[in-house]
Amino acid sequence: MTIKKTGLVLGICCAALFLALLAGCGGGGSGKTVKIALQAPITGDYAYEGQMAKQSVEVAAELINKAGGVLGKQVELVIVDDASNPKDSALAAQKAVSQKVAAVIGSYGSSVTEPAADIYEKNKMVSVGYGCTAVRLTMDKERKYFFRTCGRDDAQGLFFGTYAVETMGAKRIAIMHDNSTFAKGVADEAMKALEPYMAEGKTEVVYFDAITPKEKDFSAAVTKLRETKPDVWYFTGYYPEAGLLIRQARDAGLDCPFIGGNAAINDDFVKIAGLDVAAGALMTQEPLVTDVTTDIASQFKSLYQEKFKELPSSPWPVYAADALYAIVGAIDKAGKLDSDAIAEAMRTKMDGVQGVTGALLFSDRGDRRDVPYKMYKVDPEGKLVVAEL
Amino acid sequence: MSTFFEQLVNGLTVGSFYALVALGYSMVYGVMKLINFAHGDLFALGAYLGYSLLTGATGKITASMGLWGGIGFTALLVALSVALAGVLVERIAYRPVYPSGRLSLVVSALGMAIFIQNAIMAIWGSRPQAFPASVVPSLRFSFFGIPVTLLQVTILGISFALMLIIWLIVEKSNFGAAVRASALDRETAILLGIDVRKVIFFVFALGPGLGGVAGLMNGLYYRAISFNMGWNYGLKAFTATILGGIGNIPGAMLGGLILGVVESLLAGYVSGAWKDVFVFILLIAILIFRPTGLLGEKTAEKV
Amino acid sequence: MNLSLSLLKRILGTPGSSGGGDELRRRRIIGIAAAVIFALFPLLPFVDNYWIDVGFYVGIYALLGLSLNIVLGEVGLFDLGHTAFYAIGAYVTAILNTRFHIPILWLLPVSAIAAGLFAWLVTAPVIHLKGDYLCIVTIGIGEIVRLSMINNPLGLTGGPNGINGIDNPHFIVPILSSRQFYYLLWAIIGLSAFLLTRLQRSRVGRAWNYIREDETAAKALGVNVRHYKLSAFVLGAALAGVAGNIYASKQMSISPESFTFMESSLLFCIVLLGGLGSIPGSVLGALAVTVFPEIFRPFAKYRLMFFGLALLLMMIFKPGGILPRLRDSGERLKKVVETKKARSSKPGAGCEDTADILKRANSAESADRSGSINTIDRADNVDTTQRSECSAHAETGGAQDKLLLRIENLGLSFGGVTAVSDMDLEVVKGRITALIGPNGAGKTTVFNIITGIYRPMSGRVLLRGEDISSRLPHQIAKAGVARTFQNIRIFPSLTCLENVLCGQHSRGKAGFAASMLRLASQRTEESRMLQKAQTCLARVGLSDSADSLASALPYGKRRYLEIARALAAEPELIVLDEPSSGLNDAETLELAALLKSLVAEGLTIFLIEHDMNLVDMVSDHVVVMQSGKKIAEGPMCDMRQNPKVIEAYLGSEED
Repeated sequence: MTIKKTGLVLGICCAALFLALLAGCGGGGSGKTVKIALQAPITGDYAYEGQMAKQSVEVAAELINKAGGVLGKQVELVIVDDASNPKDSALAAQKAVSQKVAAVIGSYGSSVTEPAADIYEKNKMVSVGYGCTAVRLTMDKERKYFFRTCGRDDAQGLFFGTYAVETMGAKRIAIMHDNSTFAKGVADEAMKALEPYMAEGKTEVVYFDAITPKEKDFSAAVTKLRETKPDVWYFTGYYPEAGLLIRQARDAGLDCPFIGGNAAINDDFVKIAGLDVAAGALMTQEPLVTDVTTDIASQFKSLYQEKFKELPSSPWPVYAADALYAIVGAIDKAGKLDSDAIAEAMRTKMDGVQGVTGALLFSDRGDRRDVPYKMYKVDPEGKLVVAEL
Repeated sequence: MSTFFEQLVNGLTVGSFYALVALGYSMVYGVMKLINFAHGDLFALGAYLGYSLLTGATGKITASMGLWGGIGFTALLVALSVALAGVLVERIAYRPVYPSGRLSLVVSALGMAIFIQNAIMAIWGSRPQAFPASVVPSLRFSFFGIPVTLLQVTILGISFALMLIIWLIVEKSNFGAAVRASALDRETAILLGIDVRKVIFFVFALGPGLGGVAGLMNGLYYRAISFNMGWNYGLKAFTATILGGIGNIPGAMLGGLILGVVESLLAGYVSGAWKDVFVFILLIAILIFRPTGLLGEKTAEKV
Repeated sequence: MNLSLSLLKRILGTPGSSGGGDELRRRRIIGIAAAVIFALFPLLPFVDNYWIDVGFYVGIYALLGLSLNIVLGEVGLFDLGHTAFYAIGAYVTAILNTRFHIPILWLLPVSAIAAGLFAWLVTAPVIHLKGDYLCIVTIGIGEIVRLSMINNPLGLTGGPNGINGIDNPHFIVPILSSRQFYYLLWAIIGLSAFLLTRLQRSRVGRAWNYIREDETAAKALGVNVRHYKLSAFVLGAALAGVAGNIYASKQMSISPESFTFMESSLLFCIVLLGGLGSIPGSVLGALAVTVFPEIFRPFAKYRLMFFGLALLLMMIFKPGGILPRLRDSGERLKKVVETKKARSSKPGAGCEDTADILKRANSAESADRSGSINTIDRADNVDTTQRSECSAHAETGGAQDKLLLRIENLGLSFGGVTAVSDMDLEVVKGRITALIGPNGAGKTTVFNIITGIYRPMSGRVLLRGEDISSRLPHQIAKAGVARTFQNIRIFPSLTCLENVLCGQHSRGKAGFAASMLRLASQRTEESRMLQKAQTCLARVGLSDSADSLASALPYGKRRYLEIARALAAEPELIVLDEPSSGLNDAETLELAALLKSLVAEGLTIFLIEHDMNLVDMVSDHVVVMQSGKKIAEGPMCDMRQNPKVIEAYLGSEED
């Protein structure tokens, strides 16, 4: 009896494998469309980011296709899921490669993007990251085919450092992260940016520590933080923790200004913290989609609103859309689907290519040029506005 | 010094949640010798059900019964439905697998945990949800110089009351005696005429019911709930259970409270980044010297 | 304990058979087919790099599954933190490669050793913990390793980013493509599976299984439990370290996100899905957990929900796993160690083949029943260096009156309850001494102290004049004391032959290397052990059941199996805890005859017994205990008249 069942199970496995194989072999490109892959965390811990990225890219593709597509062909999206984990990321990248797409958008997290970028590099395929901000992605290793539309941790860290010391005149600075690749990256870079000021004696970092993500009670950490009497408090982690942190800090009687990194503040942050304490929170951030008034931005916003009844609640999905604009622009400029030509165009021929967040220009190392940072503030209605001084 | 006491109170608050979840673990473990990995996710389910009840129907429950009455009524509904879920989990995932041994049960429990967690994600979405401020009582005051909120005091009060009730049930009632007997030696308990099925039903209703209420309280207290919140609480509560001596009800409470306080003190005075490393090192160190936990009885090997 | 015993029985294999030839043949065909599919898979025209990579990650999980299977499957230790060892392997490779540019394949053994060493360091202090306590410790180790990697100690691990820029391996040619990686990995898996299968069929693998089945029985019969548990962790960790090395070089970058608790749980599921202790099962389990989520990927957010459900359903409908471990038959075990050389150069008396021995054993058995003493076999000539065998030794006959065991002033209490106090007792060589007394008198405690399960608080236990009271159970077994248990403790899911082989464990010394390489010395030893075990099985009349699972035996036969197992330990003193309980009158008579014949062959017996008729029939000397104290001793007939004894025991029981 075990034999029969074993056979059955084996049979099912084989059949499933075979079916999956068939499904996997659908690729190749029909010639009428240009296939572009989006590698994003559709499942896993950052599933909400991946799903919003998918929606954003779909909206951008629709707009591009309405405007005539690229090289006279329609853009066809291929979605591959990396589940926010390095192993699945390598598999997702390999899947995108075997589908013979023209270029790839992706991915979200830096340590997840890294193995994928290596695979794309090996296979000579252009990939454009949209949420991976670690400096080392472009600076540690020369990658010919890797680009990103988001800014880098060091730019954000520098912006924070300058703003906190020069603009706010903070003498005692607290930096908190959550031990994730992204948050620790920004926190480390902020620390680096503050070092010259500390050498001059203009400021000091009184607190630098991590909280544990996915926990809910940070009262011990904020009590410790309060005892260091900071003038400003920079949290570089994600919004679920940020919301809990600021509420618990205010409950514990810590009243210094709260500055979040660009993953810390969004509508959900306000909901979690409650408007009473969220109002006034600051955030270091690239220009938000709501503040960009270019044509593309307004088209994007209205179509997104129409399709999904809301706007993306975090900035990253918009960078995914911009990655698509950049790829399409580069293909247009290159005039062909050859990876070398696309990479070349990305570096040198992007004049005039616009995305949702503005001009899309890239440095030799693949970083986006001129990413402006602004200090945003949660206004009394819970909306994010550029902070007035 | 007042900061120290403040950290202590912080720790007790965290610890009381661990303890409430740990109670369910420990009760189930005692009777079934099973690590119910799904327990943490039932806790999360309680939080989400509470969220839906309180915010759904535009807050009709709180509107018609007042804030505290509404929350109380919701807690009752949550307790009942999560208890039902707990009993269902036992029927579906554990009872058929029980004869196959403890290792299979672990896999079955992991499967159930993954299932519930992802079902929550499929129903309520992957983004964290927040309890609206309108359903959360808010009042801050200072108690001997320690800033506390009304909610914190209430949560602590309710937690300790619940723990006391459970302790009384388990230690003093007939049913509790049956539970303890089944935990001690299931086969003898059956021989003595204890209906072990009833006992199992009871612990799988009581444990998760309690966990569900803890989930609701957790949601109200921290406001934010996420579909994967159960995993972390589950792991910590399991740690607390072991720390106190698994299967030992007062041990679970003590373990939870100690774990909470230790975590707070580590995060407050040592390092937030290394906190969990030290927690586990401490746990291992304790187990080296007390191999059956703090309150676990040192049983001689029966040969 | 009993409960989990009966549970274990159910979980492991179909009771009643050790895997018939049919199933074995079928398995072989499936195995060969699978090997061919795995070998050809990357060469098929429609298989692109994506599917080859899926095959690669199946391989990583298969290797990890095999490594966890050693700890969880073979020894039954709850290990929910196995990724810690995998992480150590990956990080050691990454750090040494990126910093010192040591080639990846050189780092393969280094990673294995580092992971093994780490496992030894962290598990040595906690290895005595039981079940779930060990489980949380392994979870803790997993979390400690992961968090430490994140916190970047000494700037070595690169924090949450991890380490990038790891080289590809170079084996004759640089290994770059998906296909090359695939073959490299599966070659390693093939080799590991091959060596592990050899280990399974050796003294070492069986020792692991004994511990899983019943730790107490294993140690009382001479298995060094601590050593074998630790060695399982070390070997499992080393294999996980190998997986880490290959993973790191394939990914070229590693980060702590790959080594989460979830990953450890997945490995746990792989082993259970495949079948506990089953090597092909671990590979199949890896296939299942990798391919299922890939298939469900189109369901996006429902993907893991289905996965959870699938785990659940598997455990409900196939709790023993997809390919449960088949136990080897005696024939098979024999064939494995036999080579042409061994066959041609069998030394004189040791050369009877199984059939011969069995034939003679059976006739001996019937002779035993009639009460005559028969020295059935001289197969033990093979190792005349060893001491007594189950069979008689004329030379010990002359020393009949020598003292073998002496207990002085023994005392032990549990949490204030005195179990034994001021106990003195002597067991004379070549005689049957019985220990009797009412329930709760402390008889079994005395036995447990003699066999080293408990350590006395006061007093000494002298075996041949040597104090053994501070020795560990397996050392005492090796010194020549074997026992049986009041509540039968056989190894339910092993064959009867394997059960009896446990006794022989302490008489062999083949270790890991010898077993994996199947050295000549190991083969000789193994065939000697097999022969001995078969002889002992025959001695108690269980030859016919040699290949059936112990759980399939009826109750009475289990007692005999336990006795055979104890005999196989080649003891000088055999300690029997209520051997007649549960036997009917006829069976008790048989038992008496067996005991007498054993003593006639030179063995010394010390038994606890409630059946006074049996005691009367067999014992030369009786010691009576009450409330932890000796109240009388002498021949049985005297005891019947002793007022103290009558009052304490006989009076109340024999009314």
